[in-house]
Amino acid sequence: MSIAPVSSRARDATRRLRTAAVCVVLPLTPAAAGVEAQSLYVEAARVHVSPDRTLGHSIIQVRDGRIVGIGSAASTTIPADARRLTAEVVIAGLIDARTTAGLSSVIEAGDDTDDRGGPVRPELRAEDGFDLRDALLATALRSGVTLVQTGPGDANSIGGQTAIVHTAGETVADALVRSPSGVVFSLTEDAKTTYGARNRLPTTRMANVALIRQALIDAERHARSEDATPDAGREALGRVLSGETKAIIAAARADEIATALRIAREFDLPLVLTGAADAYAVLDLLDGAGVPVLLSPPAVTRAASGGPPVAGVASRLHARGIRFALVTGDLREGATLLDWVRETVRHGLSESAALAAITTAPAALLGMGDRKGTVETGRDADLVLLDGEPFEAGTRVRAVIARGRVAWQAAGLAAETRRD
Amino acid sequence: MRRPAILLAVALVTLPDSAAAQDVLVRGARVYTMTDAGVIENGDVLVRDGRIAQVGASIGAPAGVQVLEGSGWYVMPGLIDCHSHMTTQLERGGGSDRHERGQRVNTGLRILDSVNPRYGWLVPGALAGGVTTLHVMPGSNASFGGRTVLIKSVPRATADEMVVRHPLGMKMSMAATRGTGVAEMREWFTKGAEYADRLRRWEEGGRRGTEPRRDLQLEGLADQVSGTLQTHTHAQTAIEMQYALRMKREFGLNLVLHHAFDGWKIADDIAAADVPVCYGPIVHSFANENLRTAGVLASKGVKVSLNMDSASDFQKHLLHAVQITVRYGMDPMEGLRSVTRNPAEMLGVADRLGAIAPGLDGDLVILDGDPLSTFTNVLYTIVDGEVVYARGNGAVN
Repeated sequence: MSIAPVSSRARDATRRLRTAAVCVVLPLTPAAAGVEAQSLYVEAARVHVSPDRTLGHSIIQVRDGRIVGIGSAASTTIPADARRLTAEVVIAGLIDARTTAGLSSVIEAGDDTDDRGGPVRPELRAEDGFDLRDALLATALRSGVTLVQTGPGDANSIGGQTAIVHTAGETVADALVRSPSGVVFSLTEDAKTTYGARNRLPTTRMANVALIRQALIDAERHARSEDATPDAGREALGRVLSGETKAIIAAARADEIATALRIAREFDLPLVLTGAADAYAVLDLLDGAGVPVLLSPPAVTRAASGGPPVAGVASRLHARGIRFALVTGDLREGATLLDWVRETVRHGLSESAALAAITTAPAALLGMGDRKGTVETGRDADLVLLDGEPFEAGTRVRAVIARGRVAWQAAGLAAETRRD
Repeated sequence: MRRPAILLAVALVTLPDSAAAQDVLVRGARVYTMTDAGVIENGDVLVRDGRIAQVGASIGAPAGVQVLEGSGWYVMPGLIDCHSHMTTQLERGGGSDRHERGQRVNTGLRILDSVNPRYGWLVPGALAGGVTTLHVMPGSNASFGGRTVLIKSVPRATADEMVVRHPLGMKMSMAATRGTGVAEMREWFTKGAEYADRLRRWEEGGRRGTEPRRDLQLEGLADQVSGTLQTHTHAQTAIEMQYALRMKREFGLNLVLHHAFDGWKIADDIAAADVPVCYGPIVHSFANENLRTAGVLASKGVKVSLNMDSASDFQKHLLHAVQITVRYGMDPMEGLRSVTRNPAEMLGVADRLGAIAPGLDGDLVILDGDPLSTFTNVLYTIVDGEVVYARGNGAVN
């Protein structure tokens, strides 16, 4: 016995208007950031313009937040008074498509990442807890990350809504690209751990799934209803059900991944998996379902015993042709995205695939492939200046340019920028 | 005459590719069909495409079929455990996934969502004991534990690939509902019935007015009351079983009693109510009455199956439970039915499992001796025509 579900894609016009009104989609023009009209020039011995293409000694011209030209150093003249940065290697700004950066403020104001008032929290929005001075965000920026999809952690069955945000900006509004971009769900042991210790729901995987399923059923009904009372949580899930935003589901073990796919099938969800330590065991399943994977480091995605190291899962996903990006996930401290990527390269991922996994792949997954992810004329000027090849252990980030502005640079580098 | 070592080598070397692995012929064995065909001496069983194709004598081996020469062997249908917790206990930290402690009524929960398809005990526990099908249920800590599932006990990439029937029933525990708990239980069944009624009236009224909220918890209760979902309840003592029989009378539950150690005290009541019993685990209770209970119930006409109630290697002793039960009075053939045909019937899957007959799933257990002898070993376990366990192949003693 059940009520026949109306196709979740069949959203009615009324509801479309309602959701459109609360969905913030900001233009990508950098004008609000007060970008200098003056050009900035970046000279590098090598520029990895994309995962598959590298230029030799080149000069990149940046203006109004965009890359306006790239040419060989020999053929490009830099005006005498122009600002200039030099680097051994330049790559596109890194994109972390699943993090809690900006919400964790661990040092200054306590953790805002996970609300522990109940396991079903689709109404929570990352942008309401987002702090540009957050320590984790600052670390991300210094390691070359210029764009993140951030949101609540994995401690709840349904954690809340994510936002796509720049890691540098004048204000949150300036930094914000899109909010909400998805809703975070967790099928891992995190929700069990959060509530199980207090003997509160859920203490088992089956209860965790039942909570999620009931919340989605309620959201479907809310979306169908002509006269439903406004409900922020159900409307947030309604945007996922309609395909407007993503269902970002954390799953580590193979059975959790299978459960994520089962729920996605039941509700026709636009699924993106995070964590995914055991993805190697269900490659057929992932391939068949065409589900993209945001692979997190082992510190935050616990594999079942007996599998390869999580870092070795990346090359298996790549070999199988499964869309994936590397992310820090619910990692609150320690390694940066760059550290994590280097680990996957040590475990067999090719350097071009590794670069794709933190630039072009996440850009495409976030629907920003036309603006982000490569060092090409017309793209946003998000650049990472390195003193060597990106995946060499000893290579350091020397400066980060975000939307055309020098958002961070290593001490001692400032003196080099105007030498002529 | 025993020669498993040689035959084992043959079997392992010739295990064919995945397509042909669904085809196997067992030749010249003593075949317990568990059907009207009875026991066939010097019989052959041919499994093709995962299903039993032919049962009889002198079946020719089609090309490409794996042949097991079974002289001296005994063949039974794959064993079925009507009460198992395999796949739901965590092997590594984090606690159990089968007892939801956050609430007393868990009718919206599905144990399938807790099933770990790569559970480490499946081979050394279930398959090593010839157990090919498991009725996996939530635990007994809550009055309503959640929906149960019937799975094949072969590790797969996903739980969905293991499923025989889902959801099969609702797990309840009469032990968790003593005293006022019975009143509470009655209240919930009433709510479930009202819920079903509300939905039906809305449907019949052309879906006009406010759409009733689909509530997974009430839906589970409604399905119990309508009988769509079987009600499988933990009931050890006579008073717990009487609670359950009363609930069946009042709400028309499609009831199966589990454990039933005190069943000998009220065997006539159980028989009169026409309620099947999933008895055991017998080795949890060695009091004389409990050793005889399964036989007593069967002699009264109650359909009895046996369980190991296990989440680990204990699972493999299901056939030993039959041996003990027969030792204490159960009819021998009825004892063998209690882990094959009877659980298949009480779980509503006799059209697929529990016997060796054409069209049924190719689930077989091959023994090196009489199934009722304590010296008998499981040589091979075959599921859907695939040899998924071979004795000596690393997994068992």
